[in-house]
Amino acid sequence: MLRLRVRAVLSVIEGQDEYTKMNTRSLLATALAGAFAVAAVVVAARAQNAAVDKAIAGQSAAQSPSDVKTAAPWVPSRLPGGQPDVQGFWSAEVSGTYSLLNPRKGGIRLQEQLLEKAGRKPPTKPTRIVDPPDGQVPYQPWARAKQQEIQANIDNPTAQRHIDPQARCLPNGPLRSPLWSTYEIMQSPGYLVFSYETTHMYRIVALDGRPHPSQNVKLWMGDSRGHWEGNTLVVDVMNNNLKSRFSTEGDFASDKAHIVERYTFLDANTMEYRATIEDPSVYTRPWTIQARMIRIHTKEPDYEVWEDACHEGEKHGLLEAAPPEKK
Amino acid sequence: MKNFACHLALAFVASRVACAQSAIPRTAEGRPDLSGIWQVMNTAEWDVQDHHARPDAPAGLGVLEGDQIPYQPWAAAKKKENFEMRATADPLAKCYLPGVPRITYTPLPFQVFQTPKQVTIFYQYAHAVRHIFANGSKHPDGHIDWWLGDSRAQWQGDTLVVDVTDFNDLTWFDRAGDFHSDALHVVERYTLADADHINYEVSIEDPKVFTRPWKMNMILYRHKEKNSQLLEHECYGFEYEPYYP
Repeated sequence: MLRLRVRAVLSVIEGQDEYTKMNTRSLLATALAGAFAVAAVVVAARAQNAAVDKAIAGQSAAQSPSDVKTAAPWVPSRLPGGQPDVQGFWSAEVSGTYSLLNPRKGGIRLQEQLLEKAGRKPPTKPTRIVDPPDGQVPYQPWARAKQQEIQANIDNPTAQRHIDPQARCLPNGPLRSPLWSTYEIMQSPGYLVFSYETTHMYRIVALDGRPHPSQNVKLWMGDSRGHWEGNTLVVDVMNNNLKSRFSTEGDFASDKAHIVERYTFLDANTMEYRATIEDPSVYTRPWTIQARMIRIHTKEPDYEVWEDACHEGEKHGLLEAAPPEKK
Repeated sequence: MKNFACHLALAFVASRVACAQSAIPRTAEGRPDLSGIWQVMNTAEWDVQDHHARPDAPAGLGVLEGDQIPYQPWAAAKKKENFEMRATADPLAKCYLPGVPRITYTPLPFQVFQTPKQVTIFYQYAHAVRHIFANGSKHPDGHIDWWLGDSRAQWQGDTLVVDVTDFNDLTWFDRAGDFHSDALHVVERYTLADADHINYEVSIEDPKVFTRPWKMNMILYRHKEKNSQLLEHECYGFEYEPYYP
């Protein structure tokens, strides 16, 4: 609980957590209105983007994608049972799930609004969607209308469906989780586990070839079955309830969705993540996202994951137990 | 064959310890291997003490050593009040994290992953996770209010001893209103009795609420069904599900 409160403060400063955005936006908008504040935010946004770009440049300098193609395949050490050893902490290089088309963290949205008010165009990042080539989700017309209706009402929701399930501490689902939260990979014979640090979500991937349960079973985090193809972990995800969304902008699938993820480990510290989503009830064709993942906490061998009680913090810590403000 | 060899060895006054060791799975480092899917087979979730059936609980023998939890007089009154209000006042009625040891006997299954420096337990209840650090590190400084506390473990022989502190005062031990304060100190002992059973012993200390430390004992059973796996229990999501069809 303590940690959640610290994070709520940090999120205002760093734009870290999307689920705190709803509570802090109106306060901040008031506090920051005015030309001086806008100027300060412009500087801060620039500094933040520069820092992020620098960090990414530093991470990628050792091995750019073109280098990877020409270099010999990475030879990982093997664990008992034969899996490539990829244990440790990972993060998306560009993390944040406010949008699939312009990936960033939700907290930055406030800065963007202030920039827009000042007549400036906020910086953008390339779409995560690599197929189809236009970089858009290939929605059927009714589905596109539904997504756009949600997107149009994010800032001033008028219906329950306008609120991102993530803002209610609900699970992010299989595809959104690694793009939003840092995560630890654990491996043991027959299993690989993704343990997502934020809101203590996890996926236990069975590697023994067992079938999925019947489709009577629907799960927030889906049912994951994996196998290794060289240095690529292929994970087949079924039994999705898909009550989660893929972004704050309302990108969605149905509980008929079938997701295939490919985690290709390029070297000890770099992984390419691809996920293909198939759902004929919502899309006109399958579509694929891609994201570079990087190893983190490499210089902190004793890094510890601490409790992140999101639901409890929202329901008890923030709503019930918040002390009255001093006048 | 292994058993036969074991009995034969015993007949020749060989080491009883060696025979006991051969019966449990072990890691490459020689520690007992707790990996697997486990679950209790008791009614402690409803009431950790002996109790007969009532409309909201199945009957069951308690898991305490002794018959009664040694409450201080004020705390006994508070427990009684909790019991009367249990339908709404139980933190699990709001799907909060259940605390330790309640999360062990919620009574949903959980899966243990073990490395030399850490034991990680993934619970079906709300995707809860306990990262139990077994690398010799100490509890963090200061009191921290956590729902599942801070867990540091060491091996004492073949027993995993987990010291848990830094709790908040918001969780209960069961649906019957048994409770504690933020001074709660829990020590769990996980000992493989054989390949498929863990003797789970818990000592509870809380000088603000109890007159003396007390203990629970129960058995954790390994799931042996073909293709056994964890599913989900996202109880905090039930109220929102209609909004996201």
